[in-house]
Amino acid sequence: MSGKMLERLQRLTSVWGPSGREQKVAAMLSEMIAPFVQEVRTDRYGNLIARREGVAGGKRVLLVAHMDTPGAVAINVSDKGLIYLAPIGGLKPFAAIGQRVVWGSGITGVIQHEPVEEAKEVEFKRLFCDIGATSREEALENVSLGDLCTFVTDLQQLEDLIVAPGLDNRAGCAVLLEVAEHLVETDHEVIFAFTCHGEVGPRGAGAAAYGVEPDLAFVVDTTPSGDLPRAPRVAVRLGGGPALKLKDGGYMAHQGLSGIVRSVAEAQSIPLQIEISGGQSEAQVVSAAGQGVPTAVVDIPLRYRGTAGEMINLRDLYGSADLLLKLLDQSLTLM
Amino acid sequence: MDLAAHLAELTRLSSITGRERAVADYLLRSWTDLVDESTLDRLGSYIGLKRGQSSVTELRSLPYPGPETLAGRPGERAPGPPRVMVAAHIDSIGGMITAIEPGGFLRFTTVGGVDRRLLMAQEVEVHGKRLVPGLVGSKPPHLTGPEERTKLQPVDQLYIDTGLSEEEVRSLVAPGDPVLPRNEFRRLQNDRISSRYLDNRASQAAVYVALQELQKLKHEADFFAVGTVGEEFGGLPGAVTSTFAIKPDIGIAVDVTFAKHPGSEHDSYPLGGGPTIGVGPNCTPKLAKIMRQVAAELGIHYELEVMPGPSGTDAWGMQTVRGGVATGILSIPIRYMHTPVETLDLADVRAAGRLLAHVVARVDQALVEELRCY
Amino acid sequence: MLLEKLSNACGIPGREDEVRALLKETLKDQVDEIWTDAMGNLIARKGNGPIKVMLDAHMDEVGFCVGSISEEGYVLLKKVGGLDDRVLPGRQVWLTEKRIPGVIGAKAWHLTTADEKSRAISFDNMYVDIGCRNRAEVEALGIEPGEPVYFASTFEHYSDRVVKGKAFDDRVGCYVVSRVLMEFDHPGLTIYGAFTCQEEVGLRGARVAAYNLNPDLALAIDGTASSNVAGVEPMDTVTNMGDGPVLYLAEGAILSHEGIFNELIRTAQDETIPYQFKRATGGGTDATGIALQRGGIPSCSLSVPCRYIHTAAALCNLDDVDATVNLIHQFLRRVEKGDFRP
Repeated sequence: MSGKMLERLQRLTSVWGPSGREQKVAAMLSEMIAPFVQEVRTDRYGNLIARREGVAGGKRVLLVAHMDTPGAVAINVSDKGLIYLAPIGGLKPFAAIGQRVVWGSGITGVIQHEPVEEAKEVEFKRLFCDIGATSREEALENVSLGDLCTFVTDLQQLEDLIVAPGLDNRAGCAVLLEVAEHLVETDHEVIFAFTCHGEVGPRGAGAAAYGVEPDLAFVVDTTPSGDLPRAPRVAVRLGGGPALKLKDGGYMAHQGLSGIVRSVAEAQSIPLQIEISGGQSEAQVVSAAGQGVPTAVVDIPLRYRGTAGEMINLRDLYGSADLLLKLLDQSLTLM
Repeated sequence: MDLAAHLAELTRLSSITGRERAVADYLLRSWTDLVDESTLDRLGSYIGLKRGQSSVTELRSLPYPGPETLAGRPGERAPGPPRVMVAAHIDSIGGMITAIEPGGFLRFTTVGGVDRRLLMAQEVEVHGKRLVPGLVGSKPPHLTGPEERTKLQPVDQLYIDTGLSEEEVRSLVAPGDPVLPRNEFRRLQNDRISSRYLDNRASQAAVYVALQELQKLKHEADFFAVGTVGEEFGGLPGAVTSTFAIKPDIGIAVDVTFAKHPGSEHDSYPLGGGPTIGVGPNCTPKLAKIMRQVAAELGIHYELEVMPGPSGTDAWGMQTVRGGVATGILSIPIRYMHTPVETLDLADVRAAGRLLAHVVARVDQALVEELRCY
Repeated sequence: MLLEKLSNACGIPGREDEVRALLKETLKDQVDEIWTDAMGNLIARKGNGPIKVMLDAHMDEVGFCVGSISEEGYVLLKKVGGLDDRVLPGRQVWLTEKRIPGVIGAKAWHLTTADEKSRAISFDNMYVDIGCRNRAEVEALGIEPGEPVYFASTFEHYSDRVVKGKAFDDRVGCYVVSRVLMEFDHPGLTIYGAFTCQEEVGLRGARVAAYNLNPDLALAIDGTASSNVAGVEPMDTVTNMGDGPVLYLAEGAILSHEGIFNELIRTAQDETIPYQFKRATGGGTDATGIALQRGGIPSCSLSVPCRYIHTAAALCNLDDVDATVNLIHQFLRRVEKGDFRP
């Protein structure tokens, strides 16, 4: 394994790309993955598709990671020039208060909430972004209704731990790049899909899987870790290795493929955590695409999802990449 | 095989959503003589093909290779006989082990719409390396305050007690293993049956009846009997993907519906009163009409089931696959749905199966054209 | 006037027959080809150019169907689509395609308790009285479970430009798309007017139509809610009836296709056509269903602002309708000339 994971994370977390406005991320990923594949293209939905040729007898394997982050859209401007917002993706009002954000045009601002008596009165429609404008007209010169903003990026390293906004799911994108670089020999045709609208729906991955028609798929994403006060009773912890998802709010693991993941991890002594979570993942739409795609999810444990201080452990990223590489060494024949 | 025995075998099998293989394999074995060909598709749905009388369709030609540029105009369909697909989902609700606690107590989560009111003290079976029986336990009553006693405990506070040592449990059970209610298949009075998982093994039983009936009937259409995976939970992936592969002209979902009993009067239908035929946006009006006509001709009593929105069946997924499918819904009334003591009347199963077979026999090219003509 | 006929026509999801027949009759001689697909969507093709554009408007409206019939001859309803209980009691309705008149009754105000007076009547306590004395009389009229029930409202002009009627969501869209097909020629395009089914129960017809037609781009034309009425702050009106066609900043959490969205704005600005943004993100239109078909179809919503949609009678300003027709036409010209590709 190279030491490029950190460098990749630094680059990927620095690029602006909320759901629906992923073009800059796609451009960066396109450049980063190009040396390792034979073909890079963007599909009609805006997903970036990179293809590595296989040999006859191999399978067509799709690796999916969504490349968007949560954000907020400008829907109203007050007379005083304060921009009112609606969430895009899973942005929670508490996570946004006091944060600095950057708009697509590069303009920055801070997010605040109208004064309230009690914490429970906090709601998204009372959040606003202050960009320093003094009137509605001045604000609209810099930010149009419909423009999007995301957290200002700022990556910090605490030994193996990385803290930054947007690690969900730029960390997954970094893992796919690591796999692409180190994939030396495999019979399989491997298609890397960096997908749009992963935070909303999710949606883009379904279109990608429909277009690619893979034999099977691995989704790489992040999952909330359970090693925190009053967290739901889940077994996943930071630094414990990649997590295999057995169930979430809309997906039941494909038994055969998840069985292969478990046995490969065991045979290769890669620590593997078992995850059962709520919420929805891209696996739901990937597995239901076309005539059906057996799909497994390899998740990276992550703390403080959806905030400006998401935290991951680099070792889990390397573990995920390692696991996927070992899986691609297998024949991946499903009974 | 006798219908009750078939149903008894089916309900004995473990088939929670995502782990449907046992039922799919059973259908492969037990329906062999009734279909021309059968297979499991990529997500594990069972597909059995009984060919139309002059058909040469083969399952290996799936997914349907029709041109992707069809604009859905009348008459725009590939050659070959009409295709009728019947979807009866083979998955069931149940539980899944999430963690093993010190002492060997098992934590679990529910899969699908489990009735949480019935969980406390329920007998269950964990399908680990072998079948491990257990009881659902919770905080004992003398430690429970009076207020707590009227409330349901959240599932993550319940556990399964297998009576085994932690070491034994760890050697037999792993997170992800399925949990099923443990119950005997019972024959009640008047040809009525009570068992776990009549939702939806009753529908496989009905399709079994239909396949037997079809041996005696001439039919032009290819009949695809599909046991779909993943109906109880998630976005109907089994129904959507098998429909995509088969590209049927007509899709009929067979499922269960609510039978009347004390406390369940509205939107419920008499047990033993025959199947229900769905009406609503998910049911193509002309197809519902044909189903009603055939029932009347056969002297099968039925009820109309009004479904003003999502039908809660595989038909909801089937209807909008590719360029759209004419869909119908046939349901068998059962009492106490999603409990371990679901109860049905075998006469309803037989009636649903017969009706299904005769609807299939009615389908020809002209009827398919008629269904697309609005 | 076509909008009047469309508004007065009846069609709950899955039972759009009247609307479909009216549109087919109106358009059949004005377009090159017209047909229905397996789900009952009506597709009207005009032109045979290399770029395929889908103009979607849904035919169905919110309403009811018969749930059951009581021994006393009352008809109990089920809602089809989203309806607010408070707007239902005291309304007149039509039952079945035969338009048998009925009323949604309510207990006399004199007889209600103090508690009941202050609360909205629950849908469970509503029923339709059609004057029958028992179940047999009702059944003899052909009323059975599943049959459609509609608001019995009639289209009328409140002024030259403001009209009242039922089902403007989305007959106004059907009207706009019909006018684009009838009034303009775009020989560089293949325009599919897609009049779709079952939007109100989950954007279902549009998905099937989009799969079949596989267009290069799609616009979904709908009627959307306006609240520029007494007592609502300007920032909270969501959209304003009379301020022009509505573009969506986000539907639910989903964004419109950026390229089409921006081009519609440029077109409106260049041609000085009024437009406005929907300043809320709830709900969704057929565009969300269309966008996900096949490998993704570039699509965008454009709506006519209407007050009081999803009730028995809504208001609509014909200036907004004309501006919407014009904006679509000007946008299509740019697509046709090659000034814009998604």
